[in-house]
Amino acid sequence: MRRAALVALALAAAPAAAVADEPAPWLFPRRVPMPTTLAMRVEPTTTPAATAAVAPPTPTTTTTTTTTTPTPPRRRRRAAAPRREPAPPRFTAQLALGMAVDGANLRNLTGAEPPIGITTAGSDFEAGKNFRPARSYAFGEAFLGSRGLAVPGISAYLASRFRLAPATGLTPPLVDGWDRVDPVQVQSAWTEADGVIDTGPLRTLRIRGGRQFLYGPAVAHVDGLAVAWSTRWLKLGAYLGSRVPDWNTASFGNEPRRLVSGGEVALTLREGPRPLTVRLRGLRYDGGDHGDVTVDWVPRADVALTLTSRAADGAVARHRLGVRIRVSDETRLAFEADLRRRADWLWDYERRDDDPSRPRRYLDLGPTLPRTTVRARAGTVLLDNIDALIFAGLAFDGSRLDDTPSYAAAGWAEGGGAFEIRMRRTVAVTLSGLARVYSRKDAIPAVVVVDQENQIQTLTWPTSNVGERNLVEGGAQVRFTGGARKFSASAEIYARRTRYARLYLDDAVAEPLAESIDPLTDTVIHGGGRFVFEAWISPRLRLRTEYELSNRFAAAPEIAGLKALRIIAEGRY
Amino acid sequence: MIALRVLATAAVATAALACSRAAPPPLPPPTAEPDRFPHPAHAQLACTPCHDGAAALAGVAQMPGQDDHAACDGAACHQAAFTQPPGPLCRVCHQAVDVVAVGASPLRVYPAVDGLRSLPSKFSHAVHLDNANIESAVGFNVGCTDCHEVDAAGQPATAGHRACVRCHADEVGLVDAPAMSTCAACHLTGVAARTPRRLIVRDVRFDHGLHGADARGTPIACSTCHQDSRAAATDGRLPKPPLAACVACHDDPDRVPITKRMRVCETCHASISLTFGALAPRSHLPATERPIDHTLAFRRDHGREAADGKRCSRCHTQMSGSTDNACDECHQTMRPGDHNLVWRETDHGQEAIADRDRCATCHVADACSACHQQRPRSHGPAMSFAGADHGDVARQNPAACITCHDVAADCLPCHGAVP
Repeated sequence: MRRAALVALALAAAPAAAVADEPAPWLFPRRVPMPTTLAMRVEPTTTPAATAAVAPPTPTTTTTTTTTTPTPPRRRRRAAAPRREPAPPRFTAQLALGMAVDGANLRNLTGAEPPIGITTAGSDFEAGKNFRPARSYAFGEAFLGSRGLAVPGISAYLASRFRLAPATGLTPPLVDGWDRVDPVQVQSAWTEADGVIDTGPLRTLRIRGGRQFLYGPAVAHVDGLAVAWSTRWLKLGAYLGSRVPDWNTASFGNEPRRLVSGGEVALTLREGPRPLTVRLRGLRYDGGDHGDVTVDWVPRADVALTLTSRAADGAVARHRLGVRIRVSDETRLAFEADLRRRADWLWDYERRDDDPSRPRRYLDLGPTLPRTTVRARAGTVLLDNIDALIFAGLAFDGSRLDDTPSYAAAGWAEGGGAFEIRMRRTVAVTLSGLARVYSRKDAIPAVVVVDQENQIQTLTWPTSNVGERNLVEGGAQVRFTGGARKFSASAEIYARRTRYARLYLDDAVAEPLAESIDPLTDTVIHGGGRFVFEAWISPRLRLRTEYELSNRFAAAPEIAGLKALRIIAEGRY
Repeated sequence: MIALRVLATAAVATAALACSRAAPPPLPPPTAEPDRFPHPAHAQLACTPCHDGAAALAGVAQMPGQDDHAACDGAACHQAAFTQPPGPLCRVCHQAVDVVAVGASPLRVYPAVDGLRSLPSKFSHAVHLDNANIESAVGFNVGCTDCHEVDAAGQPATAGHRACVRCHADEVGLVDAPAMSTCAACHLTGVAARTPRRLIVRDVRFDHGLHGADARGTPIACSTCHQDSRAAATDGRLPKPPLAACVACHDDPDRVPITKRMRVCETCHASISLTFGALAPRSHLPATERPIDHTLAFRRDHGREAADGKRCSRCHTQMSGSTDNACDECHQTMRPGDHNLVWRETDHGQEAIADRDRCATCHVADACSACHQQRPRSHGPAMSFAGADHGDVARQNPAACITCHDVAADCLPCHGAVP
């Protein structure tokens, strides 16, 4: 009652004008000595500051007191900063340096008569004169990335690789795409501004300039500028640049680097966990127009449907339907249907057809013929330890009889699977297999050509009927791992048996015995092994050694198989 | 030159955008519970005017003010505040103040459950779990439950004065050890010394009572999880149990039922479940495994999960971490498992014919012609190959010939003219 009376008295006497200046009690801790005993210590001399710290508040009203109460700084900061939090600054660098040795020993075929059916081409080689049984070279990769280091929202990325090999003019043991290209390849080198504008409609603007890959109707590698902007419902993008001729060589370097331009409009018709998006993309290159429309729909949780139709120069070129079902983290189903039409490009947007005016590319995949492909894949983990994947596919050759025959357009049916079995916590065995049967429209010739030595014979077999009939492949791998980023080792063996059409017989073989002893067999077995050792000698430094070897190739009897050794040191920061 | 111009333009554009961004205002200095009772600000006082010294010596820490605010409303302190309407000073201890009704001014929880400790003790687990040292001092070893009493539900309590007083009571007379009457011997001052009260925060749920033994019945010692507590010199440096300790058991089918395995997020998290775009961080994963969804099937179908490159860049350090157009950052460098030596020499052709789209995931046509424009080794360096030896090779696999050669242009001029 005594306190209530005092409060009432204070309320009655408090002048209204004084309430605004009520000093809040100083509640922030200060560093002062702590008493060391329970005994009362002598009170220090009161200073003005200390007095202010413990000064009683002046009379005030309840309402005013509430408004002048200091708001916790954290709460105030949240209220004033509604914008999205920028990604934490990051700098990454990864450098891999390696040394490799490729080898292919020549077989000694110059002495005695080579076995029947074995080519004598090997006799034309001479190690050190026109052939190198072994070649060593250095190679490496470098990646640099930064995000928001100097300026928030600014990123940069560089990805490059190189190979340094002595140029001797001799035939190398293993042909490599690097042999006639620049020793340094820059894959990506771009700077990106994303979210540098805090507020307003441009806060989602993203600009990336430099060498980059762009994903539209086709993957384009360009030196250029890409701009994207998005809202909750709409995404717009556009890009312009000159095409980067990957793996281009001096002989093709004279080709003009034509402009690539394109754009994208994506409309999100439904948000949330089951979004529905319609996307239109276009690409223009060298007078050719490419575009696709994609409907991406998630009708149920963890079920995604994607339907894409692509057009080239106004003609429908391709339809694709993909269904992805994630039953659980480990169980997935995938179905794909693909309908390729004649208007589809030959390989990619840059090679729509075999333009005779361009330099010969030495890779003929034949004309683009209709083909329908259906695939299905299913994967899961059985018994908590067996990672299983099975797949099957069918491809139907949709060409007409009056089409130019092409062995590259054959239909096929395949099936296969892989199983990764964890035997121990550190040891896993992987088994894989594949079987494929080809279906060709033109029949195998009834009469097999009997090869007559040193005579030029007429090619009577249909040129399209030279491909594989079927193939069977199998592989096994044993892998030991001591833990993530520690030590691991694996050994792998694999083999593929390919059966071709029987087109030839050697004239040295008696006809009745041809089926049994003809060395020109229609079956070829390729196989090899791979051994990998990988060790993290520090949290950021990895050493890796790979050794591969193969069996003797039937189509390359001059060598006794291939070998390759690669040693890589990789640092990550 | 075009590339240089584009790069220059991009640099200028990005720099201009960067300059247009206003610098954020400086943030206030961090404070801990600024509106709670500041012990250091009262350091000129001893402890006993506020805290009951007798209770403290008996192992009980009482909240001040129970005697009609006797400690605070002294004439030299805050008496004036008690003559005025309820203000900030009241809210230091009370949630709300009703000056009329008795018992209608509930107290705030102090210390806050998930807040920071004021005057934390500088308790050293390292000293108290040093068996030799403790045994020489008090004649017996100290176990975890000696201080952290376990209730009927198996939940260990936070150690308090009651646990300390057993050994540190003044009458025990420990040598070189603080006595209960010497507050500052244990309690630190200053903001920096404040430490979190709880290690289990946010949506993490952990029941100590369920972790007394594993599925086999083998008891789980406290040090199985609290591995570094024995070495903690101060309570403020008491580390959280490492997640590796969780993984070690929760990935062992013999010790944990399958419904409580590490891959089941709901075991520990109340509001997390795996989706297409989310994945447990690497620290939650068994040391010998990849992320749980990185199965063989994932290697074939991961485009949807990888649409946001941020997730990939957690482990794949060659990636930029950009959220758009980042597929190439892996696909340009990581070879598929079947790209072995034989594949490189021969078998890739069969796969390219069967499904060229798979190749186009990483390769453009230039990559093919870079190899295919070179003279094959089988063709030999001499003219003899063109004359006669090519037949030996061609008979083995004519498809290999027409990969590069046009039959009409290259073969039939010789082989078509002979009747």
